[in-house]
Amino acid sequence: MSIDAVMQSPSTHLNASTWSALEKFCKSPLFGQPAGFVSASPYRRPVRPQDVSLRLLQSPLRQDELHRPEYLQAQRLLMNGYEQDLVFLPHDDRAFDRLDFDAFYERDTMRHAKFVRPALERFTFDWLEREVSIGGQWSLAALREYAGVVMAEIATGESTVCAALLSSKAPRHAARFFMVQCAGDFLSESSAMGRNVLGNFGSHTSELFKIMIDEYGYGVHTTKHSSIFERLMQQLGLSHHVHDYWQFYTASSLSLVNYFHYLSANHGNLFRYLGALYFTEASLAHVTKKQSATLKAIYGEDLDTAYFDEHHHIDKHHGRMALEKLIVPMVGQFGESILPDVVRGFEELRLLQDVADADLCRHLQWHDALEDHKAMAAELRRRVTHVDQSFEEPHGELSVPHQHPVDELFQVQEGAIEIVASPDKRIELRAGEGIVIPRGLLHGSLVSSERCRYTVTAVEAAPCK
Amino acid sequence: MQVIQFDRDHCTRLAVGDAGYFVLENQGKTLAVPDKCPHRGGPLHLGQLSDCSRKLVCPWHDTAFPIASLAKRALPTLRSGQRLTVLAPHGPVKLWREPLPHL
Repeated sequence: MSIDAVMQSPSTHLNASTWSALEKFCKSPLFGQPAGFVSASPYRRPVRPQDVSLRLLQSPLRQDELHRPEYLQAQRLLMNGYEQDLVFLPHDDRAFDRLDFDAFYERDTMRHAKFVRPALERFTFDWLEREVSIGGQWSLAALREYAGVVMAEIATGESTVCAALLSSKAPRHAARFFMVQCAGDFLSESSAMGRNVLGNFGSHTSELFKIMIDEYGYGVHTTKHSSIFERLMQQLGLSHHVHDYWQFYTASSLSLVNYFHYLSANHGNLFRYLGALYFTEASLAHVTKKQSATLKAIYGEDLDTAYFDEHHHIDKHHGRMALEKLIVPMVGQFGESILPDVVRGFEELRLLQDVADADLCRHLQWHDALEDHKAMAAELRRRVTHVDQSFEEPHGELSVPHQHPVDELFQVQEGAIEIVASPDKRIELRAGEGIVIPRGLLHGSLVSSERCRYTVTAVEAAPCK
Repeated sequence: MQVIQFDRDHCTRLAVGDAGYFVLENQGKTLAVPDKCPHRGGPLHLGQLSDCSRKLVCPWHDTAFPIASLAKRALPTLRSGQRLTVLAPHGPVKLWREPLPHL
């Protein structure tokens, strides 16, 4: 579709200047083609510009469209824009690249990001408005009752993520991929919250700040939650630097961080933010206990799980503080009319978390079954006679991890290529071999021969639904 | 207060003790509204939406109630996808499905 056609469409919620800003934002050299799959800079964050299409200008996504490539790219772009409001500098032994630093915080790039942000937020988060409806007359008693039921379910129910980690064919690889998904949030933990402790909203400001004090480790750097997580990453043999695994964040993992930025960067969402804060703190008190036990079961009792243990302890307090010290007093001051927003934030984050958990389980299932999907391609090749697209790429050509809207049959005609599913999981395909890549699952590629010719064809075949 | 959860496709009516309610969906909002008309106790759940879709018209006396007003009498309700959660007073609960003219 041409840009003119999009602009004339009644569903278009943007204008030409927004599209122009989006194009310019994407053109930051930091967001372009990378040298490898793992970064060595907090500023280098590829967005795969070829997936940033005019689709971003059209109507917001539905929940059943979250496997589309544009969703991942929009989440990446949103995080890049939000995090221009945060300070990142390399630490420990990492060198400082002043040119990258200047480019990340460059005035025009930031201006374009701010300009395009509302459109990206609508595109990525409007589906929550349709999926979650709050009605009737909510009271504090109703909120307490409902939250109590939800938390009891979380406390007593099975964690699908922990079960998937424990049942994986390669539990340590699975656990490392889980940590990679957490890293986008935990290595700069509570930064979105920081947006809401600025200003002055009376005693509530200080109550929110008390939660922040714990998150930031009382000014002692080694007890800051992000520092505790860094140590866990190092124990597992993973990089502890911010966004080294940027390319391996799934869209659903990014959505959890971006949702908090979305709520707290737009202060009109304060009450919704409080509901989300209550959900995350109260639920993490239960979830982190299971995650700690799961990691110890996989890595042994000697693993220091202080990050999860600390949250199991302190988030019991934070859940209580969010409800009793923030929501209840605010309802007393501003009335029950704020409660639908509080409930909305609570439920929207719960839904996003459910989506992310299911998405992570699908990825772990796919990582365990790469060989099976290779065998499936051999079977399919006999039946699929047409080809959608052909490519020829030189040695070292890297495709930034991305996702497809459909199951895809990937076949190598000549040469060899690696399909990269995670920092630990890759599979080499040689001439005559192929693989089925299920829709919505993150994967990149790297040409390992002098040249490689391959084809891709949309199919409906993958078991990782 | 108790939490009642059900699939929106499987239930359009509920009773808690002697009080009846019906599911009303309008403009993307889902409500659990008392089924007795505030006027003379008519079967409001059998009402039709007005032409502007912003009012529900009771079949007894054609009294039209703005849905915004009915929302103020509705039980606290939360819909997430297909799952509907209603916060109701304590009492025996009955759920059932019946065709409603406005759904």
